[in-house]
Amino acid sequence: MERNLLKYIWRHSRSKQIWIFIVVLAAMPVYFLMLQLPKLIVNGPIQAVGFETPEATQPFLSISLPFTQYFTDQQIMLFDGFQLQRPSMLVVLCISFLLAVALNGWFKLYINTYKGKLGESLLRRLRYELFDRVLRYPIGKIRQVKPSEISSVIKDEVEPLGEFFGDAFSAPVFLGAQALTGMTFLFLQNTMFGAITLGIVVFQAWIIPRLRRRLLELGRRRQRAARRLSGRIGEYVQGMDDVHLHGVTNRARANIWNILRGILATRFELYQRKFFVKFINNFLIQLLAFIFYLLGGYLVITGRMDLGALVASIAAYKDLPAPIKGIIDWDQQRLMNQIRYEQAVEDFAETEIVPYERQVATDQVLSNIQDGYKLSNITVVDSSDQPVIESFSATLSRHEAVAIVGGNDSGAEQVAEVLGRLLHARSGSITLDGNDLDNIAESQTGQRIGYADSNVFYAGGSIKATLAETLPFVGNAAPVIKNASSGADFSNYENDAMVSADVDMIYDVDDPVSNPSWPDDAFWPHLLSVMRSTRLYNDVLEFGLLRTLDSEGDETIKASLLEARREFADDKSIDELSGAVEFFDPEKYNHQLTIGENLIFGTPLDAQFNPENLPSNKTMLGVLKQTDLMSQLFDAGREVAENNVELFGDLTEDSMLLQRTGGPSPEQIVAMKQMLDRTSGKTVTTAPANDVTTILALAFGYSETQSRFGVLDEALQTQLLNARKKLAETLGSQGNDSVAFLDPARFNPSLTIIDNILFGRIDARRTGARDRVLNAIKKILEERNISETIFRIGLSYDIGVAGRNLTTSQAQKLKVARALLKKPDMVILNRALSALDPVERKAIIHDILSLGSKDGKRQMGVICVPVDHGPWDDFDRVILMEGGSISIDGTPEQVAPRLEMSNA
Amino acid sequence: MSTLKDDVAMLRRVALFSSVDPSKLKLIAYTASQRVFEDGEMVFAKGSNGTSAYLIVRGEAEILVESGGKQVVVAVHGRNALFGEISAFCDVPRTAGVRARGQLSVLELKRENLMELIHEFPEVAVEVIRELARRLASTTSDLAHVLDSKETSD
Repeated sequence: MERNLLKYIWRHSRSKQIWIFIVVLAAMPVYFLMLQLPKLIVNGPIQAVGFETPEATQPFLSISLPFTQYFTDQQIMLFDGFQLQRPSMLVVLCISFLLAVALNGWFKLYINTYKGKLGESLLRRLRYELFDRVLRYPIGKIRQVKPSEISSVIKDEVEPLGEFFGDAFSAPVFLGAQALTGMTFLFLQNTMFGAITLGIVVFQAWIIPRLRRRLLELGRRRQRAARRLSGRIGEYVQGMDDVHLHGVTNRARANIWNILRGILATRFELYQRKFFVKFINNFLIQLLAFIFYLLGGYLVITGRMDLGALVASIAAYKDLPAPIKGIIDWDQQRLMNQIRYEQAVEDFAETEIVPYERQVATDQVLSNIQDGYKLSNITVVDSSDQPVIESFSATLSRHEAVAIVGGNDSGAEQVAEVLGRLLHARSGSITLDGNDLDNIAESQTGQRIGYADSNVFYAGGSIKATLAETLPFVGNAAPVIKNASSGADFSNYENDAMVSADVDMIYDVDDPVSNPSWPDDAFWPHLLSVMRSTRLYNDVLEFGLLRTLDSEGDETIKASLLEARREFADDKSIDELSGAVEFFDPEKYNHQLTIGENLIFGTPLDAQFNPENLPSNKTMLGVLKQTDLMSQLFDAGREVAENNVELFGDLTEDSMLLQRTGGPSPEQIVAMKQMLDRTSGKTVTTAPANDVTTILALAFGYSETQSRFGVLDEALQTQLLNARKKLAETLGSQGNDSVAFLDPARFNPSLTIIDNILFGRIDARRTGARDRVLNAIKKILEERNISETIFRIGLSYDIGVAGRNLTTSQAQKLKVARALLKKPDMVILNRALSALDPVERKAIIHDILSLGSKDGKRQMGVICVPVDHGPWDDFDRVILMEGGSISIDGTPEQVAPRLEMSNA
Repeated sequence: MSTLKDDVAMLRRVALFSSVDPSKLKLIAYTASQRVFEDGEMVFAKGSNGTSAYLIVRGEAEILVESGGKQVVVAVHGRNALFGEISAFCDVPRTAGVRARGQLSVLELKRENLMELIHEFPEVAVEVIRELARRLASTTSDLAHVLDSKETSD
């Protein structure tokens, strides 16, 4: 990778840099004109120079051939111009000025936009190139880098370069030309002043790099510190568990604080130096003015110089400071950016990357593996150069199931890693179908070989996207950078900047990840079979059951779910469920729900009807008044409070019992006591309003099954049912849909799928009931053929950041599912599924082994480094490894005696 | 569904709690959870590490002991019987298994709640000690009987 920033910029934006320079030059005359015209307007039409008589005219737009006055005595006119009188001249000049202003503005707009686009697209290229290299880092190297440092380099460190790219060449050339012109004029006016100025400029050019040395070092240090900061922050965030477990948040604070202090110290010194350099520059350039005035003035006074020459010199000098300051600033920026760039690309450039050919996308149809692996004399060493595999030779066919058995230090796992290309052999050769493994494109092995170990990392997103993520990529990607100096072909992407920023850049609809209709019908059976063999089907089905259907959910699904609800309710065959579920029946009081839930008997869609807001809900209070329930609920609430006070009143404040029962807090008990005193002998109409609300809240939150205070008798239940009906009628007549009522005949979109089928509450007293209910529901879904539909809904379950919503066993099963989903020719299981219980794990491995075998012939080769010691019957061959080499290799029967020994 | 009052009345009939103050009994009942087991469902297995005592509200529970690889029913408890209290008071695995015969409703009394109750109301502890001592006395006299009959049969 190119280490020099300017060379990098020139290589990748040469033509654009030249174009920008041409446009800047073209803009110059307009700029000049814009400055010139006001002078002409003031001098000419306004101050009447050249319009001394009312009839006088002056030429407008006269064009003369330049420099002709030097060769002949008079100018050669190409066009004499239009003769205009004073008022017309004023109008014409003013309009010209307006045009010049507009044109100049347009040039500025164009140049700035162009520079911005150039900077951004070059920045895009640089970032892409850096990421391209990350993708091509050898696995061993990438495991050593800190993720947040890499992202900090690619995202933040190169960002400021974008602003510099556009100015990299045009600015110095342009400013240099200006400065040179200024100098030339000055020399022409007065050689002595010219020489003095040149001397000062040369002195500046000499002193500034010296002052800057420290500045550059500080710049480097600042960048390193910032990178370290993001690395450390990333580590702390990732390892936050341990920070809390060991109570060392303050060590983290100290650590980060120290880095921040370092950054502040560096930056402060940087500012001091930077502004000091600026001060020196400004001072030196202004020093010239001082010399001009003092020396020139003295010479004029003493009569050795005439006034006109001095004024002309000072006028010529006036144009110098700006461009010189500009050049110095530009140079400063160049140096800082050069450092930034160098530091950013340093690591990337130094790391050996895998060759272009291994990752380049091809149109070639990928061929199936015919024979399999052949390993000869493989030796692999660990990080301390100790051999972990020694002289390993074996042939592993795609038509067999091989178990590579061995303990943790046997080298079996490393063999699997070598086969999966995660580990590089120090010596020996590995071929796949006779081709050196190193020369085979990753897309070939990636698609034809499945690999799963027990390390899991998921980026997050849905299960569906996680599954699709590792399927072969079929879209168009930006090119792999073949040779950094030649520049890959990015011309296709030149016009990306013209696309509206509002448009999502979907890279390809054909790709499974971005394709909403994936998996299609053709792929579906395969996905199902993989999910069933990895035992993920049930997990995903349960995820699906716990989701709600979108309000626009398919009507046929809703109808099927309603059918399932009826079937479940009528299912008398499930004897043990009798009474375990209390169904939602609008005509019955549900004891598993609180009084408040029984009243609204539905899911609140408006916060007004949330349980905590019910005591102040006007509609609800109105209904209670109409049904004469206010005083009864008031009494019930008081009874709840009395029971609580009686139960917990004598307990000490720090009582564990009080805390453990989840009952009211000691403060609440005290408040209840006071409230009972205040409302003693009062009714709902005479008690203070606040107390009424509190008491009603207690009543609404009361559930007989939870508290068993015996507050709820049959009569009250009947009245509550009346109120429930009244509330539904009232809301119905108002057209108010704040509550999604529980109607046995209707699908309730705000309930989860399983709640829609269950349509009731499981009796909390029955510990084993939940599993039995779940199984009964699954059976019904299976029979009604809607279980797959719900499974499909479950596929959109969000697995959470890094897959944290999955259990470890689910995550490990998902890893195996990904390896199988691409229909590989061979699958490598490297201590996969280690978190599962042995029975389930063995069953899954058995299924995978039989999955690859059709009509007695093995279609999918399996190489398994098992977690369990046996059974071996499913395998064609067992290789036992000890101390990095093979101790026996043969059929399970042949190896059995030896395996017994090694196990004992 | 039983209310707290019913539960208190039932606890009162259990010897262990018979002389405990009614308000404390109510607290015991409140901290207990109601559980329902279906016919044949195990409440706990022998050797498991349970820490709860159970009081039968309704139904019957079979006490099982393993003998020759088979589960043998050695006793059947009915309404108001307390079982599992040994593991609830001392840290030993379940000495026998318990299975529901027909639908069984129980009150589950958790060890930490019982212990906390004893801690906060020492008079409960006195009752517990009294009851346990009574049981020890009766077990000792049972043992003496067994030894006597063994001697006579020898």
